[in-house]
Amino acid sequence: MPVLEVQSLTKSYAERPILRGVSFNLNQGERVALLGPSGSGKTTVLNCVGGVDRADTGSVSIAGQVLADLNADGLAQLRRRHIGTVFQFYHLLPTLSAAENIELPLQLLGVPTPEREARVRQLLERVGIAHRAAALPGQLSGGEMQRVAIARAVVHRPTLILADEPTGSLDTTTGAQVLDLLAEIVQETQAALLLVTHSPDAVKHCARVLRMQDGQIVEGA
Amino acid sequence: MSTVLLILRRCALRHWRLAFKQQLALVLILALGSSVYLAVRLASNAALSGFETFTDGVTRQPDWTVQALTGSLHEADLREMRESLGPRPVSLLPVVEETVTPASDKGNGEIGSRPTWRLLGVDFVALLNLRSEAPAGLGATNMQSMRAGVYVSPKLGAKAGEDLRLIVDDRVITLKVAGIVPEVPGVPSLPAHLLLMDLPEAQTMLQRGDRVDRVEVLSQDSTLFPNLREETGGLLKAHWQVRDGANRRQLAGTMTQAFRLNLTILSLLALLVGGYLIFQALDGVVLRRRNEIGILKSLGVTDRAIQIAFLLESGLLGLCGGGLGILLGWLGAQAAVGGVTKTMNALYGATSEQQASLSTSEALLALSISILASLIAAWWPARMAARTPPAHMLGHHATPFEGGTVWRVEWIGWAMMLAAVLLAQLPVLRFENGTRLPLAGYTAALLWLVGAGLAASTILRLVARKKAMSAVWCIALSHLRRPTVRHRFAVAALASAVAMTTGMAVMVASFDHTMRGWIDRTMKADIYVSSAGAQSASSTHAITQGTVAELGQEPGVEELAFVQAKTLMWHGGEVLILGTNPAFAHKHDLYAWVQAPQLEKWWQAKDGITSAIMSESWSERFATHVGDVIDLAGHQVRVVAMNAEYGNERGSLTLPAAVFREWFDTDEAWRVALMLKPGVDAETVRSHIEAMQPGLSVFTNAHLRREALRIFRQTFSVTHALEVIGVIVAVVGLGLALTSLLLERRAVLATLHSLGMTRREIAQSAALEGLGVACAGAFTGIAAGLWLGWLLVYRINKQCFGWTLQFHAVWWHLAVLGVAVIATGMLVAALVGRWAALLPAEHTEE
Repeated sequence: MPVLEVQSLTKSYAERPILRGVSFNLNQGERVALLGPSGSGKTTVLNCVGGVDRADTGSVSIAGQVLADLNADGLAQLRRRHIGTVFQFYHLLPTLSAAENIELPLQLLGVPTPEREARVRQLLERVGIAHRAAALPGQLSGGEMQRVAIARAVVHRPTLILADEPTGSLDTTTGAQVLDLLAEIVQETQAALLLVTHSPDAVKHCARVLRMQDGQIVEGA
Repeated sequence: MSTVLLILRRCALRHWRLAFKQQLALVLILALGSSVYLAVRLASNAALSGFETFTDGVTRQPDWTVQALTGSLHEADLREMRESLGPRPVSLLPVVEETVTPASDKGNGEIGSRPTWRLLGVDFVALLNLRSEAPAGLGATNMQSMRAGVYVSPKLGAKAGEDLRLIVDDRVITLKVAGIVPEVPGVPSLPAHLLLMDLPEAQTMLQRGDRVDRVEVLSQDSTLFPNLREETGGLLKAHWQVRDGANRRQLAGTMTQAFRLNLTILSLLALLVGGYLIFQALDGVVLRRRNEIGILKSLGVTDRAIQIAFLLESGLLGLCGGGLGILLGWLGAQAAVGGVTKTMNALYGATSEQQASLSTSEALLALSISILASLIAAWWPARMAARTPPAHMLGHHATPFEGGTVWRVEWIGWAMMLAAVLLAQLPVLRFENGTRLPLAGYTAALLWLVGAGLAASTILRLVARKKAMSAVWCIALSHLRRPTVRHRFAVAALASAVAMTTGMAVMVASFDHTMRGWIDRTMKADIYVSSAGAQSASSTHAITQGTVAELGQEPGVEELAFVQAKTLMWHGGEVLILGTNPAFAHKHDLYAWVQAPQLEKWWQAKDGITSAIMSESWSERFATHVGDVIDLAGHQVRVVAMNAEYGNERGSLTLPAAVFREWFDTDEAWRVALMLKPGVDAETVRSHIEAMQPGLSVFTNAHLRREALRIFRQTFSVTHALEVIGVIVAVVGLGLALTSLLLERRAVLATLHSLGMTRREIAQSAALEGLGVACAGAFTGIAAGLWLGWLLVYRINKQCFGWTLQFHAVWWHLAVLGVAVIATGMLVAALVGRWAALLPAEHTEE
């Protein structure tokens, strides 16, 4: 059974169509790259899949749950259990330390403190920033921040990881390291990955490529 | 400048049109702040002007007013004055003046609720000789047509020939209205509540014999005597008390200094809280427009142009708010003048209700203050708009603006508080006529309030040390652990408002507590009697010895004592001289001693020098100490003790009754106290006396105590109202600060949303953040307010009025204040959080 099923998704902003019937599936452990020029609708697909935006028509289901059937709280519950997100601009909470940022999804799920602390410690070591655990985001480099963001996205063992240009703000070398790390961790957790990118290097880490143009998937669906 | 105007026209003013309601709210906030300031000022001025119009309404303002050193002036004094002035062209106008009360208007039974009028007895012959300077209606008439009775202003509403029933001293008498004096522009006119009478008739009616209260001196223009005014003053000062118009206005000002100071502080407080709201609102405006500012900057608009444009916009807001504030302030003043006059009457007496009039200078002052408050409030947001890098404004790397380093250095706050403690030890500034200015005390209060506000962030971080067990707590506490300048301002405003409220509450409670103790100590008689016209300590109504004797013969009365009172000028200020039966006071232990006399029978003169007791206010005002020998109107007086006296802040000196009678040549009583036989019902005796003596007010002990406390509370009622407003504004300010914080944090909110936080959890997190700020503000405010209360009770109050108060805090009152601030702060924060949780996510729009 697919982890993610997207069926005939349409979306318009101010009567301008952004998505025109997008359909695709993702299976457990599958890594898929979503490519396309600017304005093709990649981020809108990601938003609809992540449940932070609603499609006009069509349906999205994650782990068997149809997003259209869920209210705001239901969507929030789905995100906290099944989805991990990595953003281009990291979006770490500036007032929380690296460790606290990673711990946050576990706190939302009500995981007991000893288990939380153990998982955070393990992930900090896994992403190579255990020595910066107490640092605030403002004290971290771009690469370090994205490592924290990846750790935060996987700490609660989600079914689906959404990554929006995760290397878009990093230099080539750091970007490559981050991509390697992301791919390894996704492999280890057996989560499905939907990676929105412009980077040809990023595509190499994915088994399948979906190409979008003018709001439609033109290749790989 | 063209860039600035372009920004104003194309951006700022378009925002005004697009967000009309928001701009209207800003204008209204400013209008309210400036209108409260203006209304209190106008009402206070109007009530104060009542003191002047009574004395200056009959002629043009006299050059000098002459009074006896003690007691009254006699006809022989007038002859002596005339002789001492020689051929100088000076008119002397003898006057008797008395407060009277219309017998028909009984008020509502409260002291100060009956109107006080003035009856002026003037020599009509002398007045008509001053034709051009007399009221038009009198100046146009002649001696033959003058009739017996009183002349009144048309504003009184009486008709010629009508009878007026008045309480004069302890009698009810009927006077005929002899004529109405019309008002003619440019000529002196009678004030509404002034009754004019011919001098001989007034002297007879007031039982004055050949005595007058004062002589008004008016100099004519003369080429022979170019320095006539100064010469006249110099000659008269050798034998009598001489005052000019400025002295009289200053006297009225000094009398009401405490009350007006209270009003001025409150009106400034209104303006301050208005400015704080504007600051928070403009801060929000900058945040909402940060994309626009970022774009303008990226297009090459300079930081300076952005800052000036924001300041100009706020200046325009101030202009609109100030204009509206003038209108609202004038309307508010009309409503407030009645209340202010009533309170002034109860405290000081003898003022008439005037219409609050608006002068151009007052209007310009209100407008300037509104614009200035708006510019000051906008300064920081404008600076922030100018200094924040465009990249931050445009959002991709948006981080919370933490503000300048200065605002985050908490030790500055602690240092200010330490400076306040040191300043509080400095003495008061003293001026010539006994006026004092506790400048060091006021500066200490200001430093303490601001310092406590700045230092409150330390408490904020302590509050945030709690270990977070859930995500909601974790997010909320993380913001408090590293507070931004907005957090600090919100805590500072709350802490300052709560401290001010706590300090005032402590002062009022201490006053209340001390007053109750003092009343228990000094008010031991069963019944107190005064003239029904006596509405305050300053009323001149008296009780004749005949009436006092009749009171003594009332069945049920076991013992009787009376107090005599007169005012006189000493060291340029007016003081109250009391005459009492010291043996009676000693027997019943009526004095609340601050420094008890060494001899039990203190009233016995030693070395031929009169012994007297001074009140604390006298000691503080004139730096007199027990043991000092002072020269009072030509008499040597030794101060042998000091008593607590909370009835007047000008100071009083108590003489033995025999000395008083000798000095002032009168046996009239001011107040009479009756001790009843055991088992006699006070209420029955009171009713009987009131029925027999319609010109007297008779109070039982319990009623007078209630009245004393009511007047005390009435004095502070405006204070309480504005304290509540202060706290409400600080809580609203907290809401606005959180709004700005959450607007700035939209990207963070979107992240939380993406991580699976529900809107309720986001709102809860904001509510907890608000709770932390409210707790820090309330705790710091109450702690700081207790010291502020100490400063007000032991320093400022002592230095201003000379009263020793016992520190007293009503703890449940302070607990309620703390809980109310915390609960409303949390509620406001929850509402703001709920709103923020529904905001469209910022980084998903990109």
